[in-house]
Amino acid sequence: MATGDIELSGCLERVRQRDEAAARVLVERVQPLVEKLVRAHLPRNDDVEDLMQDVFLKLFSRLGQYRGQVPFEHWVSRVAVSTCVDRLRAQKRRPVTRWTDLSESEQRLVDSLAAEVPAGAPELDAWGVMEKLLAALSPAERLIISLADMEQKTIQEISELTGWNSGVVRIRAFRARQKLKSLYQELEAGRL
Amino acid sequence: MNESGKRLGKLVELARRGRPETEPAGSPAFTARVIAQWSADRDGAPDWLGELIRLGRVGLAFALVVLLASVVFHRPTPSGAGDLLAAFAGIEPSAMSGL
Repeated sequence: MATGDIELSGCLERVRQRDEAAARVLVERVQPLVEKLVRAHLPRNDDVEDLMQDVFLKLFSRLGQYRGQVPFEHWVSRVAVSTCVDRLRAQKRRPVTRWTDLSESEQRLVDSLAAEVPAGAPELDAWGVMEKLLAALSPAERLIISLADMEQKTIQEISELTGWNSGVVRIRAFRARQKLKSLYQELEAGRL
Repeated sequence: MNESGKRLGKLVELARRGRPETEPAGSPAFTARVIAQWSADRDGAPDWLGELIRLGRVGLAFALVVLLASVVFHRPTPSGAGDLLAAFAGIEPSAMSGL
């Protein structure tokens, strides 16, 4: 066992015994990972720190369930991802993105996609359109598109982050992409 | 892949590059806030109270199962659970006495 692992297991044990100094060390250790995940899957208009706080409180309350069977960072990722999914579920899903929901610059961007995309195309507008399309997906679908297509993670990496087996990840990714495609077609159809 | 799929592919590619990079939110103040909230939660709801609530829920579920089983398996007679069943079904208890 590496020195880092020994230090971590000691730290976890102290947190379980309600040691605040150890809890502080733990928060500082996993904070960059939690923040990265929360930012990647943040529901629209949600507060990063607020959601991160929820993740940490959930981590502390479930710490007794961590048995060391998977690396601690993987376990933390799963708790963070499930907290984000819960928050997304609690939000009202946008039904379908219509052409009129797009800003003028976003509409121009979608129009330009039919031709060769010019250099220096407005990437922020592309992200804006994508965010609107993602908002109409279910939390799990949104999560998988974010991980697979936005962050370009492998099936194995997604499996480790979410705790879903690789078969489930493949099926969900396929369905999510089909749905995204259909939403995009509806969006384009609304332009006529 | 059809034309619409190709256009979506281009959009995804652009959106990937356009994701906003933001400053980290983590700070000593944030850590302090989490620890304070954790302490407050712990003080507000002691472990034994959570355990008591959990046991209460288990007991309630068990009682409900026993009640349902007694209603389902009880012989329909003019008294007890039979009356209750008859009342729910809107049948005159005397009409069940011959069963």
